[in-house]
Amino acid sequence: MNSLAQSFNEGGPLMYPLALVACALAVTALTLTILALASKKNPALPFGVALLIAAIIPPAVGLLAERMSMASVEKAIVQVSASDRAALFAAAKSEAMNTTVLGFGGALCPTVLGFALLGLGLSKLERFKR
Amino acid sequence: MTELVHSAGVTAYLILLIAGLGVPIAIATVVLTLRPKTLRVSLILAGVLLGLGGATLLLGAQGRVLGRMASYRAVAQAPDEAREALLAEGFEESSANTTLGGMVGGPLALLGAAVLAAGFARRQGAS
Repeated sequence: MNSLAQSFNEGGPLMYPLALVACALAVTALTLTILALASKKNPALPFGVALLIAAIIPPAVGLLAERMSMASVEKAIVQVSASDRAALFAAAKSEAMNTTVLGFGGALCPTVLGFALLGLGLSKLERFKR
Repeated sequence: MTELVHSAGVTAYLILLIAGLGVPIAIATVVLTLRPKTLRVSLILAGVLLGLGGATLLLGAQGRVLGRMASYRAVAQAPDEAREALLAEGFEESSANTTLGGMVGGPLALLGAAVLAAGFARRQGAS
C-alpha cells in the first residue's frame, strides 16, 4: 500500500487521471463483455474493436507523461553541477517511469477482453453459421 | 530458463501463469480447428488466445520498465565508479522480462491469429 502511494507521489499529477482512465476502461471492458454475452444480437465485434482501440490510450498517455516529465528534468539538469547530473537524471528517470508502468497495466484488461470479444463476434457472424 | 525467470522477477510469474493457462487453450483450439463442426468454438478460443498473447506481451513490457526503474533508482544512490556496471546488470535483468514475454506471448498471439485466418480460409473454401 505504501509503495503504491509512493509511486503515485513519484509519478506526478498525471498519475491520477491515468489511474482513472485505467479503472474506467476496466469497468467498461467488463460491462461490454457482459452485455455482449447477454445480448441476442451480435454486438461483440464492434465492442471488441472499440475496446482494442481504447486499450491504446493508457500506454500512450503513460509514455507521453514520462516524456513530459523527462523534458522538464532535462531543462533543469543543465543548471546542476556535472557530478550530480547522472544521479539526478537516474532518480528522475526512475520516478517518471511510474506513469509508463501504470499505462501498461491499464491496457491489460481491455486487451484481453477486446480480443476475446473479437473472437466471439467473429464466431457469431452469419458466414460461420452452419 | 530458470535463470531467465529468476532474473525477470515478479512479472515472470504472472507471465508463466498466463502460459499455464494459454497452453491448454492453444491445444484445445488447434484440436477444435481441425475438427469439421467446431469452427465457431475455435474462433472464440482464438480470440481468447490473442488476448492472452497480447496481455503477456504487455506484461513483458511492463516488467522491463519496472526493472529499469529499479536499476535507475539503484544507480542514483551508487558511487560514480559503480554506476556503469550496475546499469548494465540492471538492464540485462530487465530485458529478461521482454524475452520471456515475447517467448510466451508471441506464439500464443500468432497461433490465435493463425486460427482466425484458418477459419476464414475454410469458410471461403466452403462457400
